[in-house]
Amino acid sequence: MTSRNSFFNLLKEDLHRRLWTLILSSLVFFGTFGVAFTMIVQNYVGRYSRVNYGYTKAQFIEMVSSNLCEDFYSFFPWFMAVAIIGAIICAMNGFAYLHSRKQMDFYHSLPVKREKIFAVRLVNGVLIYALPYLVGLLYTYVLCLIYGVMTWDIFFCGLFMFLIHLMGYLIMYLAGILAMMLTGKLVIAFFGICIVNLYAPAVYALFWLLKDTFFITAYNSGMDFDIALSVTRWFSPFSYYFSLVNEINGDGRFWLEFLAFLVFAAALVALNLWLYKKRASEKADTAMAFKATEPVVRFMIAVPVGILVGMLFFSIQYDYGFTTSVLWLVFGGLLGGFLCHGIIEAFYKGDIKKCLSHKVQMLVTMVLAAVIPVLFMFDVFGYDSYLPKKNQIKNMAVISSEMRFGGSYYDENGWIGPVDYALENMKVTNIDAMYELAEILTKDAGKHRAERFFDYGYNYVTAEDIYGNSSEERYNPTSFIIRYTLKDGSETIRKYEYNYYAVMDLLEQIYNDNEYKSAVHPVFGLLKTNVNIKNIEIYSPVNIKAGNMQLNGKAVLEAYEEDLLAMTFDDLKNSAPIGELTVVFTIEEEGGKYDDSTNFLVYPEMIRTLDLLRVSGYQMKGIADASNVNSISIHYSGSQNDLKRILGMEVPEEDVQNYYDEKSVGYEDYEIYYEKYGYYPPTVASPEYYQDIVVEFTDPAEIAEIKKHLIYRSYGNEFGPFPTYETFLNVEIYFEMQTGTYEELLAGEGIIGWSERFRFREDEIPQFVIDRLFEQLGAENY
Amino acid sequence: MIEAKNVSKSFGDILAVDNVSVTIREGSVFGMIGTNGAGKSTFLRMAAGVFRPDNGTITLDDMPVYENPAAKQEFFYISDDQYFFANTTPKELMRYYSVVYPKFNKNRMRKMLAQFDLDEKRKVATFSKGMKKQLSVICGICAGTKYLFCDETFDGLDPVMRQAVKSIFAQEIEERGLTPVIASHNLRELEDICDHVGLLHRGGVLLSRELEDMKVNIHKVQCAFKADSNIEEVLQSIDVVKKEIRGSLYTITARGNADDIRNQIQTANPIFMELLPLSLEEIFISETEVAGYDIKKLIF
Repeated sequence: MTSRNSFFNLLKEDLHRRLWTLILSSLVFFGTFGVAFTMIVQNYVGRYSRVNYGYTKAQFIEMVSSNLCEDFYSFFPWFMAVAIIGAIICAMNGFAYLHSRKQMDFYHSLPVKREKIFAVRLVNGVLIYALPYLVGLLYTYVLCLIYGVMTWDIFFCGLFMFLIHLMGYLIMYLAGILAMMLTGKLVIAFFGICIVNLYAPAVYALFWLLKDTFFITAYNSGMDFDIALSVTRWFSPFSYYFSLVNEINGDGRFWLEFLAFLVFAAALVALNLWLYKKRASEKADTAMAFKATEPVVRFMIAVPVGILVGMLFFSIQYDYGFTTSVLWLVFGGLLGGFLCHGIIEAFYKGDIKKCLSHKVQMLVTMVLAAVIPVLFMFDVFGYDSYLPKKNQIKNMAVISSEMRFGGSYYDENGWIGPVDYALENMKVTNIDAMYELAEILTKDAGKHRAERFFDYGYNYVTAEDIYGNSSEERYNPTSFIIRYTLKDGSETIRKYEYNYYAVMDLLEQIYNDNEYKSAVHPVFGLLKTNVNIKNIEIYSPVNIKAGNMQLNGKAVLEAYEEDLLAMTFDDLKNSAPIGELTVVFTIEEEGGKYDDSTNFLVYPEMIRTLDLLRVSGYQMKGIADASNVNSISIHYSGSQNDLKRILGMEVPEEDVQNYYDEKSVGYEDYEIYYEKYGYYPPTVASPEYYQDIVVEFTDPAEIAEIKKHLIYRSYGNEFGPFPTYETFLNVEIYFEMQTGTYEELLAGEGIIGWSERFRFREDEIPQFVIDRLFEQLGAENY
Repeated sequence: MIEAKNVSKSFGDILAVDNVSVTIREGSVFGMIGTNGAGKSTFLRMAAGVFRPDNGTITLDDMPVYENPAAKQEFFYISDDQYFFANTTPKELMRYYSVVYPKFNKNRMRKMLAQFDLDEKRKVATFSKGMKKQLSVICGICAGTKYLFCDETFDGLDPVMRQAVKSIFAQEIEERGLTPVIASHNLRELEDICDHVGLLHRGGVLLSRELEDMKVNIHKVQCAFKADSNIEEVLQSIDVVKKEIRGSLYTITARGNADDIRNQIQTANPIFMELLPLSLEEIFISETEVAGYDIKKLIF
């Protein structure tokens, strides 16, 4: 080899051949950096340099810097799209010669080793993406320097995101080359690229569908997307890229990730090169380049497609009972497997008449496609009946939809919902009550499964089917999530549905264990983290004045935790929150700092917390103790009969009939009545006639009585004594409060007023309120 | 020297080249004849290192060809449908080949392009089929390689260009010992250029001989006899391959030494006798018949 025939000369020559991709890439990055980022930088500079903002030079630079860093990240969908499309184009364009017999003759007869041809193509494909990106990035840096806002943060943010997207691009690109190596036609290669990228997520989704359809105790939390990414990331370049952007935040883990990436990418390069050297030139213009991969690929596609067709048929025919639905499930699997196998085979051979080739493999494919979902349906794996032996369990977690406390929780890994928080942190070792509950739920799940699939079909199962006649027993379908952590370290999560009242005693035992309390309330996690608590804001519907309070956030939270531990299941069941604490904390993330907050409810039993607030100058009262109430309005929307129903009163049959009687006046007849008589009908309406009424109470004695039975409406979703008829009956209270000085009050200032909505505690509406409501509704006898 | 030993190549169920052994000497023009599908192109692709033989070996100057740039520097392969880069021009090709072939002669190429009236800045895509063939040959000649593999290269060239190319070959052979290996399905195209001919049929080599050797051993005699001559007796004493009689005029193709044949015919007192030159086609008819094949079914 002479120096002329060197790698770099070939690189240059190859780049000449692929000039259009370089131009395209340059245009895209010119649009991104040369246009979009120029506008962004100019906008920030213009915005923060305005005199009226009053920023110092250092603040100005920090503002621009943090915003620009954020933009480097927030542009990720665009950068990802560019990288993904670019990688596909470069892989297909760079290695399209493998699919052309003419080009094979040309390139493989040249005195250049295949390794070198491969390396030249590979490197150019990277340069085509990376060079314009880097030039654009450098341009942005220069622009920042010119505007005097360049910082190391901008430099590293830009470089870091470049690295992330280059990694994503490389993985997608190498996977694209892999598809080109394995196939012999561009169309098939494109399908190949889709399969290489999407196969693992698609199979995961199919598995999820089977599990979700046939396993009634399958737990699917909001973290599914993350789980899907983490499960499929090493099997799907697309997932890998997504997970890179999704998870990496520039900390120490990134470099570990980067090392893993290098190994992964090197393995892919080696695999591609090995395949290239093995690949016969004559395979150009044939569907698959390697005979051995043909049955594997066909099998990998045809079986899941068959299952999917079976599931489609099953979902359509599900309501027709077990025999019909299972037959369609099997038939769909057989048909889908047969068709997909045949179509792929016809593609391989380039001849539709060859679609029936490899009959044994076809049969195996069809049988698997038909049998796998049936195995799920009959729960051959014992998924729904899973209950580990008690002595195998290290710890457990139980989360009930009736007993969720507080909002989302934040730690150094970001926001996390209360369920995920509890699942992650609850490690209760005293499992007697939990295990007993699990036994009941597992046994019931078996009954539920039998009824769902084999007796009725899903739509025919009612609460009564599951729980028996509930007329005598109180019924509240409640979901339960149970996590078993075994002594061998494995974890299993299951979800059940059961009547809350039937297991309330067990739940009481479970809750009253302090180990449980400290895991089910996210507030206990907050102090354990390094989250920087900025301050605590207080809110109570009765007294909105917080004043200039100097609260020690840590001390308040510690008192709050102590109070929470002291509260029993019974306390929570019977008490109602009177206000809330909003913990404001500072989050430091890539791209800057910002404040966020989370809320914790305050109960009247929390004497330590309330004392601490009182000492600091804030008296948090419940509505019963509120002195600033001048009037109470009760809003009701509905008919007389509706009110009777929500109060649990009997509704005479004739009253319902009267609605259709000619004497009654329905909504549609209202205007007719007016036209006929010249005035609207009297308020004595049909018992089914829908009305909007407001009943106002101003008598102090009545107000005092009503206040005893009220709870704040916003906390209605919490665990406690809350009725379910809040949409029909709202209690609105107008509060007044003096905030100013005597002079201000004289001047008519310093008095503020506001209204809040409340509800009556369950079954605690005073009789005089009921009387007034019926009176206003025009009911004569009730 | 190019040496193929027991080379075979299959494509699925199709055996394209079956146990072929051929030796191509330097400084000669090797013609590879065969019908479509005989395996000529496959053999050339294996010789060019494009295909890897399933069995057997192909060496070029004792170097294995497949994945061996040192061996590949010694030949230039012109396929039956030569690839040119999209939107390329002869000038760009010149630049590319000069990167790949160390001995590529740019000046020579410029001269030859002018000689063939091909504009070096014109897009190759706008060239006619014949012009593209000319361009391929020019690139092949200018690559400065020892061997030139041409697959159906003369197909598509007009007679004038064909002659021009042949004369360039002759010049190159004389000046630097170029060894063209020409695959064609047309015997007449190779007639006046080949020194050695290999006949491929159904993947195998039927024969591989020096053209001169074949010519020495077979002759065509045209002669006329009196009515009472003992010509039939005389003809039995020579190895007649073919005999045509039109009145008293005999055209006899026979194997053997030219003088012996002439002397034998002389004994029948011919009125007129003349030795005629044999075409390649006729030689092939003869040789393949010896091998037990009917050449007309194989090639024509």
